[in-house]
Amino acid sequence: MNSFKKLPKLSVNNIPILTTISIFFLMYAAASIMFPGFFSLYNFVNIFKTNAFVGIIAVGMTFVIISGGIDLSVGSVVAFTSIFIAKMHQSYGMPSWISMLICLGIGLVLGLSIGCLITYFELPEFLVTLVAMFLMRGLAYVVHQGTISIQDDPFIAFMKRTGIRVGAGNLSLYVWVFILILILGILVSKYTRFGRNVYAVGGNESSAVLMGLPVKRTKVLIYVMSSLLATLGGIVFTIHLASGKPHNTIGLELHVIASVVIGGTLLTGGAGRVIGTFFGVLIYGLVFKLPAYISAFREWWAQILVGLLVLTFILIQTFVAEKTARAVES
Amino acid sequence: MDGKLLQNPNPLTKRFLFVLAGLAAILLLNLIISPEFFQVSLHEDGKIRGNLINILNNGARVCILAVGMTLVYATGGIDLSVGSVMATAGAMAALMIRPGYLQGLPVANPQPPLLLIMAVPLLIAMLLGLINGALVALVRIQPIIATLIMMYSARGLAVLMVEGQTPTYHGVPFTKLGLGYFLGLPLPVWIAAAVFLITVLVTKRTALGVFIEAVGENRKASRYMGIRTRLITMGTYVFCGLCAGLAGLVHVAGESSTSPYNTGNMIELDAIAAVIIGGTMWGGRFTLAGSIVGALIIQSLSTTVYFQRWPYEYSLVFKAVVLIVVALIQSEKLRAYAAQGWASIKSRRAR
Amino acid sequence: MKRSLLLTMALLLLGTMAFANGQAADDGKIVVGFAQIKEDSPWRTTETNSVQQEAERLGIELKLSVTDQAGQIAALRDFIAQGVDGILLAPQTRSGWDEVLQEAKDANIPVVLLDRGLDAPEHLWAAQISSDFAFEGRLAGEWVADRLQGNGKVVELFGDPAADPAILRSEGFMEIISQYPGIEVVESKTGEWSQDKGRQVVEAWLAAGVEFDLVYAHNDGMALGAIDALKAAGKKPGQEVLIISVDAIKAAFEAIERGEMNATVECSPLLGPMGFATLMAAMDGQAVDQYIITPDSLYDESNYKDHPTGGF
Repeated sequence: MNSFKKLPKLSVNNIPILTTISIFFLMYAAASIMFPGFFSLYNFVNIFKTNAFVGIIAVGMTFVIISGGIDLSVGSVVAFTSIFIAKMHQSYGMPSWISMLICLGIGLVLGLSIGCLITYFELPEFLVTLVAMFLMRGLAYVVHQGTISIQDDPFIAFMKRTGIRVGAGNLSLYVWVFILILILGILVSKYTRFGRNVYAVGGNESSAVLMGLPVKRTKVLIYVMSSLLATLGGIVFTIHLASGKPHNTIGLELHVIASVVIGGTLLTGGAGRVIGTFFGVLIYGLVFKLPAYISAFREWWAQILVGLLVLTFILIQTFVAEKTARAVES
Repeated sequence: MDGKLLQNPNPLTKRFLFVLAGLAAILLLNLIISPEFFQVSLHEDGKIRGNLINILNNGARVCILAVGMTLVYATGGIDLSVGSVMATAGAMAALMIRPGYLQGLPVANPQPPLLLIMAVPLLIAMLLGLINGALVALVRIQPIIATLIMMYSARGLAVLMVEGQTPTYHGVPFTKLGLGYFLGLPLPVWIAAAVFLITVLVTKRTALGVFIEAVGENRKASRYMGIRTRLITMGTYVFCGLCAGLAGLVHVAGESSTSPYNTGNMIELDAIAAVIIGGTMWGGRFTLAGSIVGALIIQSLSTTVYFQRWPYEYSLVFKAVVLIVVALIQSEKLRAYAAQGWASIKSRRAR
Repeated sequence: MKRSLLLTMALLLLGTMAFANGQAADDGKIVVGFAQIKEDSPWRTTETNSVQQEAERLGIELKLSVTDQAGQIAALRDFIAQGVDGILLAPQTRSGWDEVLQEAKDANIPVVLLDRGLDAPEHLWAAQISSDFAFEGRLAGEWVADRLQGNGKVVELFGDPAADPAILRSEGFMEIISQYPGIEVVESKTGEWSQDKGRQVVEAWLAAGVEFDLVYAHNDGMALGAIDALKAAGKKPGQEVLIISVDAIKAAFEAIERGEMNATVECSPLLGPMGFATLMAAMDGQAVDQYIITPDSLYDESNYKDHPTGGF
C-alpha cells in the first residue's frame, strides 16, 4: 500500500517523455484494434529488426543533441560503411568482420576530426558535420558506384541466422546489438561522469567551463561516440540487407533527429533521455508502417505526419522551457 | 549610411579577392589540362555557346539560391529547405501548366498567363519561407532544426502535389525561363544577374543591409537599439524562400518537366558552400558578390568533374574538402593558433 | 516501485501478444500486398497504376508500399503479419531477401516478382515476370546497324551499372553492334536512369568535343536529357544526331512526334494483368512457370502511331 505514495510527481520536466510514451502506446493500441494481425509477437519483433540500425545511431545522436550540438553526417557514414564492406568482400574476398573493424577505425578518426574541428577551431557544428556528410557520401561513390550484394559471408550469415525464435520471427543477433547499445546508452547517461558532463555542457556551456568541467574533452568524445555509433549502425544495416549501396540512406539524419526530438530530447540541449529516444524511434517506425496497412495513407503522408509530430514536440519543449524559466525566476 | 558598422576598413574586400583568386585557380587548372575548356563561340542563331557559358547557365540556380542564403546566413541562421522549396514551386508550376497530366491529358490550352504561372509558385515559396521565419524568430527554434523540418515537409508536399509523377510540358512559353536566350546569353544567367543586382541595391542603398548585419552580430543589442529583429529575421527567410522558388522555376523550365523527388536534391549544400566560400560571416558582415563567386566556384567544381570525365560524385569530395579548408582559413581560432605559433617562434629567435 | 509495475505490465503485454498470434480477418475478399520501389520514373509509376487498376478490376484489395529495399523488406513483413493472400514484389536489389521470403513461404503466401529478379533459391518465390533485357538491347542494336548502314559513332548512356536492365541492354546491344566494324561506341557512361544526369553527361561530351552520330540510352528519361543537351548545344536531336532508347513512355512518343527522337524499344510496365493472373494461379496451388518473359517490340517514326496507348 505504501508503494503507491511513491508515484512520480507530474513535474513539468517529465511532460515530454510522458507524452512520447503515451503517444507510442496509443498508436500501438489503435493500430492493434484497427488492423488484424498487428498485435502479434511477429510484428513486434519486426519493428525492432527494421529500426535496429536507426536506434543505434539515435542513441549517439541523443548525446549530441543533449550537448547542444548536431550531427548531419550519420546517413552518409551508414552508406559508406555498407558499400565499403560490400566492396571489400566482392573485390578482395575480405571477410566482413575485418572490414567492419576497419570501418569502426574510420569512424573513430572521423569522429575525432569532427570533434576537434568543432571544439578546438570553434567551427559551427552544422558546417563541420555537413561537410562530413558530403565527404562520406562522395567517398562512398568513389568506393563503388552501384549496388553490391554480399553473398556467402560467414559472419553476416551467422549474425542473421542466430537469434531467438520468437513466435513466427527470429530475433536475430544484430537486433541484440541495438538493445545492448540502448542499455549502455541509458547507463552512461545516468550513472557516469561523462554523462553528467554532457548534460552540463548542453545546459550552459559557460557555466560548465566555470565549474571546471572538462568541456573540451567531453565535446570531442561526444562526436567520437556519434560517429562510432553511426558506423555501428551502418554495420547492422549492412547485415540486415546483405548488400551495400552508396545511394542508400539519403535523409537518414532527418529520420534520426526526428526520432530523438519525438523522444522528448530538448533541441536547445541540456535535457533528454535515451529511453525517450527509444520510444521516438519506435513511433517513427510505426508511422512508416502505416502505408502497408492503409492504402490511402501513402508514404508522403507519413512524412508529413512525422513533421507534425516533430513540430508538436518542439512546441511542447518551448512551453516547458518557458515554464522552467519562470519557475527559476520566481 | 555607407553600410559600415566598424571603423576597420572592410575586411571583406581582402577576402573577396582571395575568393576571386580561388575561382581563377580552378578555371586556370582546367585550362591547363584541357585547352578547349575556354572555347566560346557565337552561333548562327545568335546564341553564344561554350563551356564557360555552361558553367554560368548551370550555376544560375545556385547563384540565385546563394543570394537568398547569404542574407539568412548573415542573421546567424541557415536554411536547409531551399532544395525542397524548389521542388514545391516546380510542382505548383506543373499543376498549372498541365493539370491533366495524371489523366494523360496534354498541356492546358490555352496556357494560363506566364506571370500567373510564375506568381503562384513564388507566393507559395514565400509562404514556406515565412513559416521558416516564424519558427525561428517567434517560436525560437534553432534555424537548422526548423529548416530541417521544412526540408522534409516541403518535399513531401511536392510529391503529394503531383502524386509522385513527373509531369512533362514541352514547348510551352514557361520553358523560356530555362531555355530562352537574351542578347546571346541564356535567360537563367540574366535572371541570376538581376536577382543579384536588385538585392545589392536594396541592401546597400537602404538601411536594410546594416540592420541584417546588426541582427546577426548581436541580436539583443540590435533590439535595444530599436531594430525590429524579429521582422528582419523573418524577412530574410521569406526572401530566401522567394529565391528558392525562383531557382525552382528556372530549373523545371529548363528541364521541361518537374521531378518532385529530384528537383533541388542536395542543392542546399551547394548554396551553403557558396555563401561560406564567398566569405559571408555566420552572423555578421555579408558579401553578395562573394556568394556569387562562391556559387561559380562550386559550379566550376561540378563542371570540372564532368569535363574531365570523372564520376559525378567526385565533386562531392572536392566540395567537402574545399569547404572545410576555406572554413578553417576563415576561422579566427586558426589565426589565434598561428599567431601563438608565430609568437613562440619569434621569442625563441630573440633568445 | 514504479519501475517494477511498468515491467510487469510490459511482460503481460508481450505474453498476450504471443497468444494473439496475428490471424488475419477473413471476410472472403482477397488481399494482395505489392512492394514497389521508390524511384523517380514515369515507367515505374505506370507499373504501379497497372497493378492498382487490375486489382480494382478483379475486386482484390491491394496493400501498397513504395519504398527502398529496407522498407520493402519491412513491408513484406507487414503484409505477412496481415495475412495477405499473395505478394507482388519488384525487388530493388538482388540480395538480402532470403529470410523474409522464407517467412512468406512459412505463412503459405506465394510471391511473384515483377520486372526484375533476385538471388534466392527458386522454391522461395513462385514466378518472375520481366522483359528479356538482352533482347531489348539486340532490337536496338539491329535498328542502329540498319539506320547507320554499318557506319557511325555511337555514345551509350548507361543505366545504374549494377542493375540487370542496364547490364543486359548493353550486352545485347554490343552483341549485334560488334558484328559491324564500322560502328564505334566512342563513349559509355552512366546517367543513373535520370534525365538531369543524362543531360549533364551529354553536355560534358559535347563540351569536350566528342563527335557522335547516335545516342543509345538505356531508358527514355536519360534520352530526354540527351535531347536537352543537344538542343542547348545547337545541334538537332533526331536529325543530326539520332536518338534511340528503351521504355516507350509517353514522353518518348511525344518526342518522336516532334521529330526530336527516333526510336524506343518497348519495355512494358503494364505488368498488372499478368502479375495477378500468375499470382492467382499460384494462390490456387497451380504450377506456374518460374520465368515469364513479356514480349517487347521496337517503335520508331514509322510505326509509333500503332502503339495501342501512345506510350506508357
